[in-house]
Amino acid sequence: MLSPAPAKVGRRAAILSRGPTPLLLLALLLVTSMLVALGIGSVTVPVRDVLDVVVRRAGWHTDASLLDDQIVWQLRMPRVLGAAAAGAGLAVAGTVLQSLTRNDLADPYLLGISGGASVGAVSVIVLGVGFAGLVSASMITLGAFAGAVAALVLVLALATGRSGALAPSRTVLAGVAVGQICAAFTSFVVIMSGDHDAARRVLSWTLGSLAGLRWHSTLFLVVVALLALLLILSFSSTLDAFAFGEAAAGSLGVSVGATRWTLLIGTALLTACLVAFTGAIGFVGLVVPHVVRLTCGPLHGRLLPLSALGGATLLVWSDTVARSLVDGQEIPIGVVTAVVGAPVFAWLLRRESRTA
Amino acid sequence: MRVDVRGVGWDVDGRTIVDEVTATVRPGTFTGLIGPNGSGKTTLLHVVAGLLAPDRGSVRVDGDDVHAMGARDRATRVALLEQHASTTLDLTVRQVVELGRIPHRGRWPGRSDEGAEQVDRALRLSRVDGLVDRRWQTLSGGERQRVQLARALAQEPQVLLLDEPTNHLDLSHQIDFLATVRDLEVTVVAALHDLDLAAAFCDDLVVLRQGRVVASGAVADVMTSGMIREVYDVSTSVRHDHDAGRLTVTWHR
Repeated sequence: MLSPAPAKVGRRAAILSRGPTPLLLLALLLVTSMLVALGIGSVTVPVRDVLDVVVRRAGWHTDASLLDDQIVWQLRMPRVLGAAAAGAGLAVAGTVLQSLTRNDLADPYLLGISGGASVGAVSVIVLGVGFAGLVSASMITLGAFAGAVAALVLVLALATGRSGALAPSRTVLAGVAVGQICAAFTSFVVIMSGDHDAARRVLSWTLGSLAGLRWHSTLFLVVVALLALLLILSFSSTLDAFAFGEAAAGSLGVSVGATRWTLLIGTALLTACLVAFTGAIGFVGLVVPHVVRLTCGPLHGRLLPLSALGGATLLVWSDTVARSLVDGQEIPIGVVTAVVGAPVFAWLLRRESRTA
Repeated sequence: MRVDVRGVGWDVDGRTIVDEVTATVRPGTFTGLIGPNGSGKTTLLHVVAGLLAPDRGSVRVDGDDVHAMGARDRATRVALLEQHASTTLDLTVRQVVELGRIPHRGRWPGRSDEGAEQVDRALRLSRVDGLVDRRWQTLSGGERQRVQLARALAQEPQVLLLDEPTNHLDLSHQIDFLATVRDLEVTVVAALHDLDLAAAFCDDLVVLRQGRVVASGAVADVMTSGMIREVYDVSTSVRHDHDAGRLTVTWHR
């Protein structure tokens, strides 16, 4: 039986894939979300007062109270802004990896990068606990970054053929293998250390948390996300050229090898920078690009900025839920994104099985 | 545009796939590349398209070395139609054809109507202008091949390379497709399996066996039952059919 759904979706996609409307709408949604999220927490701040604080910080005179400024600007803004930057970065990384490998399941996790970051972070947490007091947040960050880069190097070394070509399918398989080894190592270290505090910290790290973000780390994330977005946007028509595979991209004037190396290493470094501060957050890079592609079409000039905005909005809300759903306790943000993302992904799968 | 292939060789894992191939394609002609499976046709086309760098020799288009020019520059002069184009993306026909404008566009996402005129022209030339708003996934094999042809023409190439373009088409679509290509004002090199179609549509032929050129020249000189017996090990009669008004190839057992 022919379902009428694809044609309907097709028409909707055609409308949304033209003009600047969706971009403006999503940008507006993100800004509104951030303003609302800034007011949510143990102390509720009305949106009006949030606006006063932000406008005063931008240099205009308002009568924002010092307490509100403390709560909104010093405590919540780093988390909200950091969530937006991390969400945008993860979604863009997922988009690029899916297009480059032509694999719907590709996301930063598939390349083993998060696994490597976990090994780095866990090593610092567990080994550092032995030297009481030596473990600082920045050491965990450094460990995570080193682990992510090491995993990336290992994946690329495994995936590179004798000819120097980097085949997407082999890259994904190498990523899965490295990811599994990293997961095994992480579990082993945690079990063997027999330290309950370390085990708890490791668990909370592997599920992600933005609780550790301060202004300096957030600014770093924002700069990294913006730079990565700019680099990747400059590849948007190059990525379009991959629609019919690599030979087709080559015949459209794309240097396939150089593009693949630049973008794989770029997204891997981006992911390494993000997970080093936030821990492993799943589903953003996997689900957001699919939803955007479905509603606004697969061309990257639109797909990339829309995915960035969508990922940012998703993570702003996920973090707000994570820090405010249960009083006085943080839920790992990875749990929230999984609860939202998994059903969406299942729905996408069902829809695809109907149209295929 | 004239294509000069000079002493081209390409190896993989110590095995020579294309061996000392030298051939000239005259400007504006339709040249058929024929030979058994595994004779190196696709590899040779990919070398000419600049996708593979030859281990030996050179390919020149109108005097310029294909492998010395930038990838973008090359894509505005040489376009390739692959054997079987497939995508999982939900693209419209127009969007697919617009991909052909990528080598002409800048780095950054810009005006969406860039090259609209060339895209329209390409759609008309390959006679798919009626399909612009259709979605790629809903097209038949024959329609897809024509849309890919339009994509290649939107590149405004001087040389068009076709890799077994009629493989998945029924007889009438095969004839339509080759007739459309023959009437284009570009130099065409097509790898073909069907010798009868090659005899009917090509001006010149290059015959490959085990990566080497065993014959080349005008169709009437090259397409002989002797050549076919030697290369394919099949008995045929090749004759001018007065009713059809063309050279025909018929096989016997």
